[in-house]
Amino acid sequence: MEKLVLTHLQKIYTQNKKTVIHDFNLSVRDGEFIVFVGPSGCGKSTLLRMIAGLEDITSGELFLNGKKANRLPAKDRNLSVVFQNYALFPHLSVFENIAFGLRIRHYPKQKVNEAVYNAAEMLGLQRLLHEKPKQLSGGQRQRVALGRAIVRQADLFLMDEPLSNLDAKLRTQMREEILNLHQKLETTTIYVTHDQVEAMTMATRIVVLKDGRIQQIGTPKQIYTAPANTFVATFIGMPQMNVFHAAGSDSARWDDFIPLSLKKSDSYTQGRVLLGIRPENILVAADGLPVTVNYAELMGADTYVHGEIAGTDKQIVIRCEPDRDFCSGETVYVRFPEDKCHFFDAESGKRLTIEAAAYEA
Amino acid sequence: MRHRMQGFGSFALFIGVPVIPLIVFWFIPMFVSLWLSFTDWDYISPEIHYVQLDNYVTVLKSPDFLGALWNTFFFAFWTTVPTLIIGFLLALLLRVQIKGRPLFKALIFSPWVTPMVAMSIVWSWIYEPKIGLLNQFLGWLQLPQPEWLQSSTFAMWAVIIVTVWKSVGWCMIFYCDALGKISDEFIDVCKLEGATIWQCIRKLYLPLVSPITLFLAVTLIISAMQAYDQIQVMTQGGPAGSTRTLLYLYYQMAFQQFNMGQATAVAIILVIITAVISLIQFRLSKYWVHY
Amino acid sequence: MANRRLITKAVLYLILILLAFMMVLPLIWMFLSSFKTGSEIFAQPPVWIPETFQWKNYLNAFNLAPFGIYLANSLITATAITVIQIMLSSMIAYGLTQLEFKGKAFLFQSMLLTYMLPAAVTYVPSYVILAKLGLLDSLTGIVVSNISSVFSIFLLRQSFLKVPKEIVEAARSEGANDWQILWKVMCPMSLSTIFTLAMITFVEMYNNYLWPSLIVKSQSKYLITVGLNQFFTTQGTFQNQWAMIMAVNVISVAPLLLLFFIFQKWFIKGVGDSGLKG
Repeated sequence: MEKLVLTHLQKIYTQNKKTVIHDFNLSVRDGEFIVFVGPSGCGKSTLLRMIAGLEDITSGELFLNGKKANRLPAKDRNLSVVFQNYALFPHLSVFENIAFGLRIRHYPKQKVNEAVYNAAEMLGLQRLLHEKPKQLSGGQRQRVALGRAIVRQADLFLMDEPLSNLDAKLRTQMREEILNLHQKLETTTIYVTHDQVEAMTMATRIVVLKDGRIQQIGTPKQIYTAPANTFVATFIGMPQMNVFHAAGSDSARWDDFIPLSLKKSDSYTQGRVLLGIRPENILVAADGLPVTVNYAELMGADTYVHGEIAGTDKQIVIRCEPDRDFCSGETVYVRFPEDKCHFFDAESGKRLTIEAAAYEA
Repeated sequence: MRHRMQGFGSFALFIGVPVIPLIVFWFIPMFVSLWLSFTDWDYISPEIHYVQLDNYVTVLKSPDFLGALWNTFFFAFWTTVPTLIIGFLLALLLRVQIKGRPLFKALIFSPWVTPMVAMSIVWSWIYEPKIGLLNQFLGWLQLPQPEWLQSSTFAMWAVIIVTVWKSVGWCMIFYCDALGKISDEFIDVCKLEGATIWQCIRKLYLPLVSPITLFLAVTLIISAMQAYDQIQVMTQGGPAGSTRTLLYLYYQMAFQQFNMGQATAVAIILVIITAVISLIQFRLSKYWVHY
Repeated sequence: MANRRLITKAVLYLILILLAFMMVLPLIWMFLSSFKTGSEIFAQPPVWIPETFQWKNYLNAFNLAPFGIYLANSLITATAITVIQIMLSSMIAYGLTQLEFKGKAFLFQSMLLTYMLPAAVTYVPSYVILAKLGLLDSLTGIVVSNISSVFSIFLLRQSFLKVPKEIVEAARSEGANDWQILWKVMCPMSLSTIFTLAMITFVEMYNNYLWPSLIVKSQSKYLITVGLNQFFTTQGTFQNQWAMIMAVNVISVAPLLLLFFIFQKWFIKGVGDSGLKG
């Protein structure tokens, strides 16, 4: 069943007439974990707030459980939001913070206690119920915020960069906890983040946004292996994908490593095609395209080699096994396996198939 | 050696010099006041006699003092509480994003900038029973028209109205700032949970501005204890002592009757009352102020 | 929904306009009345706008008492007090935040105590002290007895505490001495607090009445507030002088209102977020 459907959603701010969301279409199935990812200012939080009912919808339609809900007040949407800064009331205890929504809705005392204790148990907060938020650590505050979201048994969880205030280690841990929670409760979740790692690890489907427009919707695997455009290609993946203008003089040198169908074509010197290759897909070989090493970073499990394609100023990053040492100034030879290459239209940045790339070129 | 001299030089310059007026006009007078309150000094005669607690006994027994004490509490309560409430409500109204907000703030704040003496004169005319603006307005509304400053029941209220009028702007500015600092996320939470305005105020705004409320309550009470200008201009403590506060009594005793001993005794009692009220407020604050 | 929001907004505007109008009504009434004739003053129902503006009310007032001198006295003393008070308070605040000395805690606590107490307690002894110094009935007396303020010291101390330690240490390592650090580092970095404090002090000193009324006796030393009340008590008995009294009020209120409306943006912001609330 479709939990949430958004069609042609648009948001224009009345003050400055700026359009922040353009023609947004998405349908979310029950139990999905959708992640909105994009750089700051891409409109992902605005979108979340529109779904929550905290922000007006300029045009387009929003359906919740099959019913049009554009004008439905936030409180009647049966959803709960976890905010970036947790929004924990400093004057209320953990218990009262979790119980806040229930109290506002005048739930009977018995029911409030029961619900809060259940939520606290699920999140391991039983011992902290009488503390004030100030006395809690970042991770604990985060849990309280989650507690407030789950206690009402909402149908839809909206999370707005909930982990961005935590340090790296805690973030990994909380990521896992949120996922466990999602598995246990199976509540449809929309999660906003600018962190691609969170997007890749948590989502059943990712929505990549830029400047208020959808760039791509897909499973993490689809997004990673078949990015719809150069933006998605470079935004997802660490270190980011190398993208070159497959242009002119370069072509001669790449003979053996890029697809043969491209090689023959002369017009491809016009540079209408972009070639992308992920650092981990580049092979260091005995011969091939010469790369001058600038420096190498040993990351532990692997090494990132930063260099320039010899004779050009094109920067390239190669991810390879850590056993080999590289010194700066040294020349290494690399190959791009054909099936790992991505092609994009140089003007629109849109993904091209190999054949289309060849044709375009 | 040179270094130590420099250290002492700095101390003498930064603390020694500026502390002199502080000692001369604050610290010494306080102790002298305390001492004077145990004497019968009358400002003229060179002889000063130590009279132990006589001044306090006389003062505490006098009906004038008890009346003034009651008036002081009455005045302090009915200026502080309405000022806080109105200031808070104004700030709440001004939370909404509308054009001209700074202008509204400036207009509401402007009475604070004006001299109390001048404003008391304007108000005493507004309070004029026959031709005053207020009574003309009340008459137009078919409401009773009291003789404000000439009536011992209404004079105090007249003074209170002026005092509140002059200080609500001050209060509002602090509340505006405190409300402005409340994160939008909290307000979103209230919207999501469907809290009514009343629930929002009670569960969100009031607790979150409570430190400001404490600060304002303490300072407003201290300044209410020291109110003088409006009383001097509008009523001179009258009619029939109905607007005579402790401070005004002190002024009359010290600078009209030159009864310095009893006057300083009144002042010391005023100090003690102020200190006790502040202390009680800080003690109670543990239960309702949330930082 | 858009309609309802519009109505809410309109109602809000109406309420605010009404409230703001009520707040400034006494000021407007004062201003308009200062130009009225005697009969307009006593008119029932009230006349709002005078038929012809009676500028002579102002001239008459100036002829009856030297309001120019009063005004000058007030402006001079308020300015002097503000400048000296802020200088001295910054020095103490610097001492309290940057210097180490015996009895620092004691000094701070005694000041805290004074802050809580009504200033009026000190009036009798202060009066005697001023008399002993021969400063009664002089503008110097008014200035000298007002230059120390515990409130200013607290506010500046609060602000100085916020100056990062590294900046002070950097200045010191560049060879700046305490005097230079205070005026070239601490004060510029606390400018908004100093500005707010200066405005508040100026307003309070200009409006001050009780204490100055006790120490000045001769007319040439009157502050505007003292002169105003004097004028009111002598003239007020003749009720037909209201227009002239209002004219005098306008004169006394005008400088501060003018100052306030020029600086209101910074003033309101400064009062709101200065460390005033401790």
